[in-house]
Parts: sequence; structure tokens; C-alpha cells
Amino acid sequence: MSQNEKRQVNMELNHVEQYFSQGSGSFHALGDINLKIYQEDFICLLGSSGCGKTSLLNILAGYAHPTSGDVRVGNEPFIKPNPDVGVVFQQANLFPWMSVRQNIEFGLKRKGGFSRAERKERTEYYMDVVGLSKFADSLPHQLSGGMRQRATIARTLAPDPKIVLLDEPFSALDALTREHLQRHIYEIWKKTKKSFLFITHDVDEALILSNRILVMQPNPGHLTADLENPLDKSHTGFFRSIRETDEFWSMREYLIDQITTKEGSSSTGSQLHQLKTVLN
Amino acid sequence: MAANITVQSPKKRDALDGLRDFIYKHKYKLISVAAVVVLLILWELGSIFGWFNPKFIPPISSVWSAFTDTLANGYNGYSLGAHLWASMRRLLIAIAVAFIIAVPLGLLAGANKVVHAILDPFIEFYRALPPLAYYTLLVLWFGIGDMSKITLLTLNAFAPIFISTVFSVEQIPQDRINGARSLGSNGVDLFLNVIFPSCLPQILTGLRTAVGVAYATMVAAEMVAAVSGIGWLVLDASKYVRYDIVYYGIIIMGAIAILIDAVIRLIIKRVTPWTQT
Repeated sequence: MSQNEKRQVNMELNHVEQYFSQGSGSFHALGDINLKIYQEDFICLLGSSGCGKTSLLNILAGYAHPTSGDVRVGNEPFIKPNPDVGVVFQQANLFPWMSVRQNIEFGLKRKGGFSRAERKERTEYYMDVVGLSKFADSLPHQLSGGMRQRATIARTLAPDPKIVLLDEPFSALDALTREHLQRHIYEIWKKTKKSFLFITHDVDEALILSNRILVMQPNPGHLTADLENPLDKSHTGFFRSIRETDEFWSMREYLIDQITTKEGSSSTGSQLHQLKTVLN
Repeated sequence: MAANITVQSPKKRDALDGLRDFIYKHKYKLISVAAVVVLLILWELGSIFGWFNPKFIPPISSVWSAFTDTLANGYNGYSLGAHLWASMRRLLIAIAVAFIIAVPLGLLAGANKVVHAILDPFIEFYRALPPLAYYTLLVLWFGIGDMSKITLLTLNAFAPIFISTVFSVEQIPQDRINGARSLGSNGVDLFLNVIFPSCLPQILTGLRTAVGVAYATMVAAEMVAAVSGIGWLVLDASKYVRYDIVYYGIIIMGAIAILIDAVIRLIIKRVTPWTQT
């Protein structure tokens, strides 16, 4: 993709392999992952459970080191977690003894480079972005599950990370709250234009949110597809209408095939060709 | 017809309604209070009508007068308050020392399996011993005074606090620590501002257990060797067949135990409100 080469690369994985020792032998968790994450990417990483999504996330977040290969953020080697890469987990992991405001300030205080006034301003701004200004002084246990996850998102965004990793952030929420937060996170992305990498096993969620979709398959975990999301999301209200398009349903079928087909039954190349014919 | 429908205007609430609400709200507590009152009445009636030997079970009225007598004149040259303070001082010092040692050591052992493996056999061994079994040794080393008792209670309180602290470190959700690291926290900052507060609820639960066991041990130790304290008072009175004193002594012991536990629960609620959902 020539167009991509002009865009800023925020994170880069080259030939990343991950092995875990398992008894006397070893388990090949990730095999030859190559990935560039660009500014303004909203990537959804799709894969069935056990395909290595979590192993990959741990490497992207800096919680684990690849057995071989290298990981770079900006142009620096990425060796331990740092505020350039923010993470939102499946379960809200706010500090239960801190108010919403204190939780959001936690990262700002540690990143440094923000004056007291800037910290206050950013905290207020992100509480407003996620709609929790009224709950600034509430403790997490006083909030609903959806509100907690919103607070976590604000806490992750406040220190201005280059990349935001979201590990199935809405899967523990009820369907109504999930849809509400999907719209919310999309708005936030549009506002901030940071690199988002959103891990999910929900194909609809991936199609609605992303502008780029990665598909992962297991044994060892590797990326089998990397495609631009062709769905048109330029008009407001696409959340409602997007499911009414034929494109949505053919993409959905295609992605489900991609996630579930056994390797070797057909090559990625020919499937891409298939997709293009479907879409035309 | 609309005219057929009579709308009841809300009745004016009077004092009786207030009382009714109070009874309804606290009905189980009131039942508990009533049960105690009934027992005390039966106790008094039993002594009056000779259902049991007043030597063994003196009437509640004479227990009460023994209590007021001690309040006015003290026991063995010390006021009742002085005896209680002697006991409470031992307990407080021991708990404080145990807490200060057990929490950092527990955090360390929770984070480092080697440290845990070194400490574990000793703690598991002495924890299983009845405290009075090694009390004789402590008296040998530190004499019959407060030092041996405080050491005994410290050892006794140490194990529950240590064990719950180790356990609390192991229980911290990995996501919480990873999240903190991604926000730029590490080293001492991570330890003090994330790990320690995460452990606090379980540390406080351990403290509550520790106070309970140390209190029981304290009374027993005072009965074995002491010249002051509530445990000693009860034992000494029994030597002179003053069972009226023995009874109020035991009642005070129980009341203090309940009071201490209530205070600790209040502290827990204040310090870690998020565990009280």
C-alpha cells in the first residue's frame, strides 16, 4: 500500500515469535508477526479464543517480551510498559480506593511534562469526553459497569498515548451498554485520531468500529488477513444504517470464513480475490 | 363515577408511627436485646427461688454490687480501670508491633517466593502451637512482667496478619498492576500506591483476626502469670471464692471483645469503603 508509506508509523512489529515453555517442551504461541500500526488507524483484531490474541496484546503492551523479533514504538525499541501505549482491559481495572478524578490523574502525574493546571484541565476534559463529569468524586464501586469502563477509557487517554490497546473492552457489558459504548469509543477516536487497536471476537463490532481489520488464526498465532474496512462511515447515523447494506453482510460472511477456515484450505491471496469479486 | 373514588389523604404521622418505624427497622437487634434481658431475669429469678446453688451462680444483683464495689474501691489496690488499662496496654503494644513487622514482611514474602519459603516453616510451626506452650520459655527469657506477655501477644498476632498479607499480594488482579505500569508506575511508586492499597482490605481482615486471638491469649496469659489485668483479676477472685467478681469479670471481658471488634469493623469501613458493597 503506497499510501500507507507516507503515514506516520506509531508502532512496528518485525518477525515477532513467541514460545512458552510447557513441561519439557515448548508451545509456539505466536509465529512471525509483522505489523505496522499507523496514526489514525482504528484496527480491529479478530480471532477466535485461544488464537494468541492475548499473547500478542501482552507484547504490544510491553507486559511480555517476544522470544525473537523486535517491537518499536515511534522509533524506539519497546521494552517495558510506558505511557505511550495505553491499555483498556476487558474488566475495568480502576483503583477502587481512588475517585474517578484521582484515577484519571494517576497517569498524568506519572507521565510528567504536565503542569498542575494542565493536569486539571486534561482531567476535566476527559471526564467530559466520557460523560462522567458529574461523577468526578465517586468511587468506582459506586458506578455501573459501563461507567467504570468509560472511566478506564478516560484514564487511558488522558496522558496522551500514541497507541491505545483495547482488549475486548465491552465484552463484559450488557448488549445495550455495549452498543452505547461502541458509539462512544468511535466518537472518541474521531475526536482524538489516535492509533486504536481493538481486540474483539465480535465481527459486527469490528466492522462497525474499524477502518482496518486484522484476522488472527492459531497454532501458532499469526495474522492471516490485513484489510481495509471498505464500509462507508462518512455520514452520521451510519451506526443505524450500516447493517442495512449488502456490503456489511458480505464482509461479515467473509470475515467469519476467515476466522474459522482451517489453514491450507485456501490461500489468503485467493480469498482476497474472492472478497473483491463479492464486493464488486 | 369519579365521585365514587375516595382518595385517602395521607395520615398525619404521630409519635407512635415513629416508634413503629424504629421497631420495624431494628427488629432483629431488639429481639437480641430482649433475649439477653430474658436471660438476666431468669438468672435473678433462679437465684431468688433457689433453682441453683448461689455459691456457683450468685444472683445478678450481687454480681452488680460486687462490680460497683470494685468501681468504688478497686481490687487489690488497683482501680478496675487500672486493671483494664494494664490488659489493654499489653494488647495495643503487641498488636502495633506485630502489625509493623508483619505487614512489610508479608508484602515482601507475597512478592518474593524465596523470602516466603524461608519464613514459612517457622511461622507454620509456631502458629500451630498453643501460645501458652511457649509462654513458659518467654517468661524464662523476659521475666514475669509485661515484656514476656507483650512478646507472647506479638507472636500470636503476627501470624494472622502475616498470612493474610501474603495472601493479599497473591490475590491482586494482574490487570490492575499491568494497568498501573502502562500508566507509568513502577518500583517503589507501584508498591506504595498500587500494591499496598490493594492489599489493605485483607490486611485489615488479618488485623481483626489477630486482635481476636491475641485478646484470648492475653486473658489466658494473665491467668498464668501476672499481678494485674482483667484475666488476673478473675483468677485471683476465684481463689477467694468471690464468684460474684468472677462473673462480672467475665462479662466485662466479653463486652470488651465485642467493643474492640466493633471499633475495628468501623475502621475497616472507613479505610476501605469499596469492600463494603
